Amino acid sequence: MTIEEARADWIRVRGHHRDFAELLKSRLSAVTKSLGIYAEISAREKETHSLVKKLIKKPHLSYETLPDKVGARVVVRLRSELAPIENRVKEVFKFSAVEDKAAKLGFDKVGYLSIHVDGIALREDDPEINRFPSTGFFGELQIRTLGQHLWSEVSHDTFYKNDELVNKLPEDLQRRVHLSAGLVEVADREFDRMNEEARPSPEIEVFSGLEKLYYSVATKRPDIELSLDVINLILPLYGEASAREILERHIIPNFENHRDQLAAIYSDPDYDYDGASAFFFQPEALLIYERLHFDRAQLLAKWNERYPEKELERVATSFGFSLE
Amino acid sequence: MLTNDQLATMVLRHAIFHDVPNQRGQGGQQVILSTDLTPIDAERRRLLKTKLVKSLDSIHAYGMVFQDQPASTVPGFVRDVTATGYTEAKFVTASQGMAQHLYQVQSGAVSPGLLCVIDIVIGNRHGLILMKLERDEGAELKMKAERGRTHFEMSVLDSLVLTGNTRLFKAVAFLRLGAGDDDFEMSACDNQHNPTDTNEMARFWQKYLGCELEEAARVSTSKFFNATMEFVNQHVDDPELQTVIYESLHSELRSARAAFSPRAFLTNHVPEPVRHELNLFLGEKHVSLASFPKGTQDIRGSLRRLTYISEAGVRVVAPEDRGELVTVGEAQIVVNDRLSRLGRS
Repeated sequence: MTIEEARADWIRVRGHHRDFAELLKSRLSAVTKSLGIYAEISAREKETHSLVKKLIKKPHLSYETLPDKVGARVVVRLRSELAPIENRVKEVFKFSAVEDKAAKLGFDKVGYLSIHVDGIALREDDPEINRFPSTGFFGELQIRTLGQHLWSEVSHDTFYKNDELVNKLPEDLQRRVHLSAGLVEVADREFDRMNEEARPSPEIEVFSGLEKLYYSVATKRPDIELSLDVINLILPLYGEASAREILERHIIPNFENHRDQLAAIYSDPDYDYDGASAFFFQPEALLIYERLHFDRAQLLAKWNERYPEKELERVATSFGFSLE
Repeated sequence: MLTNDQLATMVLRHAIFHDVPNQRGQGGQQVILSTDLTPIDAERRRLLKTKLVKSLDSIHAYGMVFQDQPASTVPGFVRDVTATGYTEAKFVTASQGMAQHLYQVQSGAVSPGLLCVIDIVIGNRHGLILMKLERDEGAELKMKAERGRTHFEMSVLDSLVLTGNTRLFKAVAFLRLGAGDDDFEMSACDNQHNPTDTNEMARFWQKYLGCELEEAARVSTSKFFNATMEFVNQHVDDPELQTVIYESLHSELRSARAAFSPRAFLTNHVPEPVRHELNLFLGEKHVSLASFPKGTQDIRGSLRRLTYISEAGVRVVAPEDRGELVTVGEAQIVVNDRLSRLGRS
């Protein structure tokens, strides 16, 4: 196929690939939700000019087999979240190869880090497989941390693009590029360690538990300061119970009993509007939800000590509860 | 009765309003039936849903079932519209039929007003909501009439439903669960009357709907009483707390209030963490936490107690229907039971 023919064909089929990218994004969102991990997810089909450029620059690639007609990316906060996502992606999708760039670097080099899943496509048992058969609809997925993403965006993707270009830089500049990658890797490892070593206060422990549940049904980022403030206010309603007891005896069982309904509520676009409560797209909404089930009157009394009643009323009606 | 999850995921699809005045003899105002739906924008739809959730989950809300042989035509219309093969025309016709029926049964004592019928979906289940709203003298209700077609404009919602001070409000939700005539989940709310009030005005809404309470008052009352007593006897070890719950339960059930709120009882009389345990226990026993009208006929014997007071001031309290537990002799009072536990206060 000539470049001209490839361009014409891509213009014809691009919309279909856009739909595939959308589906890929929603499937990846389901993956991160199922793990309770917050992630920035994007997926899009290649723009026509970009596809043509690639075919011109890399004549060994053909239009039919171009691996990244659709590109997707999952960016997580912590290094320790990469492996669970990679493993779940391997279970959920079909793929041709997985490449961990860290393994390629070896122990004595630093540089670009990401996990690349090539040829990511729908499995044969996927309900959408007839619309997007894996022979024609596949893409490239990158899984990386925010730190890795930062380095890639600034040092790698934007200016140097690939190792060949980096190699053309003066040696001292090359070294500084790699050193900055090393710094980011050290920071990523430190974030992971800090996350593991932190001895949280009860409200932080409850927040961590709630956050995991929240991200399994919702995608909006919360205001953590507000979360801790609300949790701090409501925790006394559980008497002497420890943070672990509150999570294991109250929050998690109640959440699991209503998981499907909560997922439906949080995915309803009707709730994402100007009149929604400031407390609805927050992990502690699940704490409020549990107290609405079991201790509505006390919750209201406690709430009124610090926050406007109208806001609680909004959260309550979103969950199908009346305060009247 | 509709659950919180069902109310939260309820989608309001279409709404239609009919103006239903009182019959006041010949020459009186006639019912005004809309022929078309009232278009509702997204914002008002959300506000309307909020209003309905607040009513149908309030302490004034009760579970209902259809009467066996109702005089009302409402059950027939509800069954018909929610059966498979829904069409907008069928919905409009049924809503008109229900408004006509309201006009026929609405006596002079019942406030006139608007009947709003809403077509709803929860999950993949179909249902209907009816709201009866008092027509405020000052409210301007705009009806649009064009080439023989009529409908109330969206502003009717602002005037009657969405203002914070709507006082007189009756609502009911019917959710079809299966193909059978009685496969429905229903919640009704009348913020003017208790469902157990016996006067004609209070019975009006149920009579119009052709419904009755899902569970007789005496059944709800004895279920809650027996389950709570079972919990106290088996799961509360502290004798002082046992006494507090026991005394509070008796006192609440014997009070003059017509309705009983399990939720309020738990909050006011049962401390954590026992409250949570009792909450779960009641759930396991399928005892609802929704308010119910009190009916103590079946537990009268357990609620009434005889108190024996000795000359030295010792008190023995026993259920009236368990007279065999206490024998009163000339020189002594004998309790014919074994000591379960000892409490100090």
